[in-house]
Amino acid sequence: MSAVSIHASRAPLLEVTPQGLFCAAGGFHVDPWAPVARAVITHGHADHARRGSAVYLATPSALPVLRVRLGADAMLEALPFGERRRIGEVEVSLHPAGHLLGSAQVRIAHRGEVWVVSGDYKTDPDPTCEPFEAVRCDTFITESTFGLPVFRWPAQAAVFEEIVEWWRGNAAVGRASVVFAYALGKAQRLLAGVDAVAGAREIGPLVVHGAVRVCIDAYRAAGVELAAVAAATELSREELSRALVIAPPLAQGSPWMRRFPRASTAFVSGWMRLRALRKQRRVERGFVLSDHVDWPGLLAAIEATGASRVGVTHGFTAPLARFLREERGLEAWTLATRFTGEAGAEETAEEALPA
Amino acid sequence: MKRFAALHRALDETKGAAEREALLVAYFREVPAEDAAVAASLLAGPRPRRAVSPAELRACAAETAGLPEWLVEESRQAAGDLAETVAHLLENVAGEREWPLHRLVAERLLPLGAAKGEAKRALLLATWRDLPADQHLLWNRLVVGTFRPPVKADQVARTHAIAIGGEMPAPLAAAPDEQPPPHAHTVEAILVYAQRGAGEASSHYVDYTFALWHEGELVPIAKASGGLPVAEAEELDRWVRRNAVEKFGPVRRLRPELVFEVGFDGVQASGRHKAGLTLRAPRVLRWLRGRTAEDVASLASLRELLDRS
Repeated sequence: MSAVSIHASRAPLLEVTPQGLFCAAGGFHVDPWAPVARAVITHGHADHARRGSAVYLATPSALPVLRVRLGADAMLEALPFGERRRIGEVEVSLHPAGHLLGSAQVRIAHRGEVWVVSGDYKTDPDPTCEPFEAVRCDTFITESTFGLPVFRWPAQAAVFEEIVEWWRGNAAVGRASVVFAYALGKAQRLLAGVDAVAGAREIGPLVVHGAVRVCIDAYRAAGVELAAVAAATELSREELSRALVIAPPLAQGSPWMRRFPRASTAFVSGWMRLRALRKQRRVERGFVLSDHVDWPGLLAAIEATGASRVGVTHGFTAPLARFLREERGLEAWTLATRFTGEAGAEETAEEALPA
Repeated sequence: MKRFAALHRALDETKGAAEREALLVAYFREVPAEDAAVAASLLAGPRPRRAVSPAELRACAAETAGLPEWLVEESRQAAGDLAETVAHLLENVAGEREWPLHRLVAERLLPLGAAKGEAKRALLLATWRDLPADQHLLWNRLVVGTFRPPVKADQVARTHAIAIGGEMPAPLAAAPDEQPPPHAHTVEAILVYAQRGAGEASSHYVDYTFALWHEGELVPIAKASGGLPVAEAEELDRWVRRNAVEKFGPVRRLRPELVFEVGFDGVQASGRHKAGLTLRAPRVLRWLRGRTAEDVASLASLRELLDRS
């Protein structure tokens, strides 16, 4: 993996250090992997928001989730979307990334030069979070979770209808429908999307796992309206047999699942685009819905920044960087993500994967 | 083709033998006799000869999608299946024509095998433009010879007899006979990639890619799965997690440090692989703990084998 090397006339505004992406001129890290003095956080997923730093800066709507993730003692500061704040020698502002509620891109301006770190992002609409905003910059650091042209998302309205149709079919034969989806972001988007399909509410109750419930509460605390949900323990066996159940992937195969003895199971993820990964999940259905941008979305987002230099991180870094260099004439390179050594690194690296 | 593709999908998603046979009987009863005959031949095997090589399919798909070929290959590596990759890449190159299965085979699949160069590409492209997107995966598998019937031949014969009666139809133009297994060879090679396995092994790195030196670079020569004693496989799994230097989806690129003895049946020339060759039936024999990556022979040693065969 190549290290960051930009042959510009001056030092790069951001560099990869053992703690993560570091802005020396501002004296802060973006989504550091290890405790640092000042952390700017793009969003609350565990591979981006790690405990132990002295001060965290994030958007106001991200704070309820970060409070849960980072602990009651963490020092959290809010920076509203679009508001510019001087930190050290640079000017920092946060802009919606559309990944989940409060998720941000970080814009850093220094002596006329502008860098933007995308964090994780998607450009498709999502009623549970602020819409992605293209930010003009000289250098764009983009994620590449789905940075291959095989990843192209179907229209999400059709996916939600497909899910509801599957739920209706299961309910008709007395089987609960258990959908595995990431507890933060995906679960709330799924809830809103399914609830918006005509006739869905009549099929049966909406049930969520405790880990999903915590994030729903954080969303509500930030002002997002979501459909009423129940815990599995609050319903009768008959009600559960008609329910749509949203649970985190970790619940698959756990004792918690015994509450739904004949359940039909499904997984909701961009990885479900690939047959091999659908088979690997061992669920009856795989629905393609991602909170990451797909290939056409990536290319459009990169172009919209107007950036001439693009650092590629988190995902299919090498192919996307090569494509940008050879087919788009951009200066593009791969950025190291955390890869070896310290305890916990592996679980972090795995989170973006379909395991 | 529409119903055959739907049958293929349904069989792929159904586990029980009885349910699969019910799907087959229903299919054979519903479709016209000519289609049932062709479907029975395809499902019972032997497989028809491949009409298009993977390299031809990849090149044609790359050109049609307006993508560089290396990116199609990267995508194939992520998806693990060229036919599926091409189906995804050409999702927007599809039509609405309803091809009866027997005519698609007679007028497109078999002629494709005989066609050459530009005519072949034109036929392939015309068929992509005809077929609806949800039939592309099956079509691509048929043309590139990776169609694996999801049922056993005797199930096909039995259900065909129940639905229609009479003799099983004759096979389509069959693939050439397998060559007799040559004697085994071994090579010492460096572990460069690991990938999690399928099914039971999906949380462990059990699919390995091995490489040899060629002009100062490590060039992959073989992929193999499993083969190590459980304790060693677990130790290796832990090593992979600590020594990954890059990830591509489920694949980890590794520090090129560990050396293994890899057994194989022979060497095959291959223009699709960087090494210019692939190993036939590669398997992991032993972890050679005393060896370092510098000890390993160069690709030239395998090329010699190729020249001899």
